[in-house]
Amino acid sequence: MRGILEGCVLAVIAEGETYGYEILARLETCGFETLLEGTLYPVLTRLEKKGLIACRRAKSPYGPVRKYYSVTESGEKALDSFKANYKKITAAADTVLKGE
Amino acid sequence: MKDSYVFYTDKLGKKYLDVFEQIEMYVQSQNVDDHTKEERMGELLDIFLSAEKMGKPVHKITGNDLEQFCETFCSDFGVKNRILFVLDWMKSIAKVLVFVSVLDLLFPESAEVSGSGASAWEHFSSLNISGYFIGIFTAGVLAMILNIVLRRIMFKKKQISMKILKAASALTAVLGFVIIFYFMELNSLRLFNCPVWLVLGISGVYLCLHYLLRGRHMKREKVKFFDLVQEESHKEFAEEMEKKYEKARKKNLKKGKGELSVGTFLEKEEKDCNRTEKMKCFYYILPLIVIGSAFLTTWKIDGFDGVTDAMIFIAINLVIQYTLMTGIWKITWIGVKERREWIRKKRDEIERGV
Repeated sequence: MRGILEGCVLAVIAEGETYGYEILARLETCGFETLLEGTLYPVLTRLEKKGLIACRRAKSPYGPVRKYYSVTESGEKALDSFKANYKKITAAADTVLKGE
Repeated sequence: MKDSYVFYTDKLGKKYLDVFEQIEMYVQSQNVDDHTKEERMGELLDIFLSAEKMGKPVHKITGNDLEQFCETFCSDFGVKNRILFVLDWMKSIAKVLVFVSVLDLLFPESAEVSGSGASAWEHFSSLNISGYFIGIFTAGVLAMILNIVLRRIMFKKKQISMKILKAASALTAVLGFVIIFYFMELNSLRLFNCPVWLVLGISGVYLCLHYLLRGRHMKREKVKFFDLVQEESHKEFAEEMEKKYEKARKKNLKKGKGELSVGTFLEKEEKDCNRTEKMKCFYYILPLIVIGSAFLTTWKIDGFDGVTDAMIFIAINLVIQYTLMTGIWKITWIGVKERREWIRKKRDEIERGV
């Protein structure tokens, strides 16, 4: 589940430079509502540490400093790899679950 | 520049603010370095402000189990963050050791004067370094344990107020000083003698390295004490002034002086502000009077060993007194500025007929 969430967060960031609330809102519309509960921040930290995303700091319209995330080159490669693996795994899981 | 998140928490509504403060309590009990805490809480505050603006209830962000949220929120705080916290904390120890080393150089405990003209820098003295270090270390560990325990209790039992936490913090600080003083005075605890120049050197090098490696980017985020005072003062200021006006109005009626108009009240407040501003010179003359009296008293009882001793006495007292008075004046001036701002806003409201 952690791996899937990392991949999905990476995919959202790859759509364009974004920030924390936008990522949450996007994932929520895709159905991740009940999974988030604090997991977003450690995921973002891990992705940053791995060098898959970069961040820049700027003042938000509300006052506090906001971190804007964008995907790096290695992040794009990691995303492609995640998508390929995910397709493989879901295809295999479908096969098992359908009893074929 | 006010970059820290603490200056924007008042933009949250009550429900969001309550939850935010609880999460902050939890994060502070984790004993992670200030930089990590600042970044994480800043991001959370931005998300809370955005979500509140969109009309989302707070549980949509945190879920229904706040403790679970906090555990996950802090799950990536690792050993490195704790080590950085300890290194930041040891900076305070290093500052104290630099201070006591300099004092020991100026007032050596046992100095062998080799003829006339020997300066303080030529004397080597041994500090009770074991005593200082163990005392400060013990006090620091005690403060850390209390911080974790108290904040965890406050996180679980929401009805315990900030006042209790502040009182407990003050008590911890006093206990810390008592422990440090006790170990300093334990002369039997001279486990090893250490030349004061070595203590000064090691502490000085530590502080320089700390500044080079962490200090430069932490300076950007550091919440200045006077900015915090101004922020705290600003939050409840309007409410306090309204209460003050009500009190003055009721007093006037009680004394049979009739209704106290807002305009009259504002004029009185403005006169008070002007009077306080004129008293600025008092804050700088008072230390001279105090130092002068202390100097004369000490001189009369032959308290000085010589001219150098007297000059060092005056210099140290000047530094302490003026630092104190400058701080007190700054806090007073913050109050005056807030009052003037409030008076100006109130006059604008009256003119607009609000």
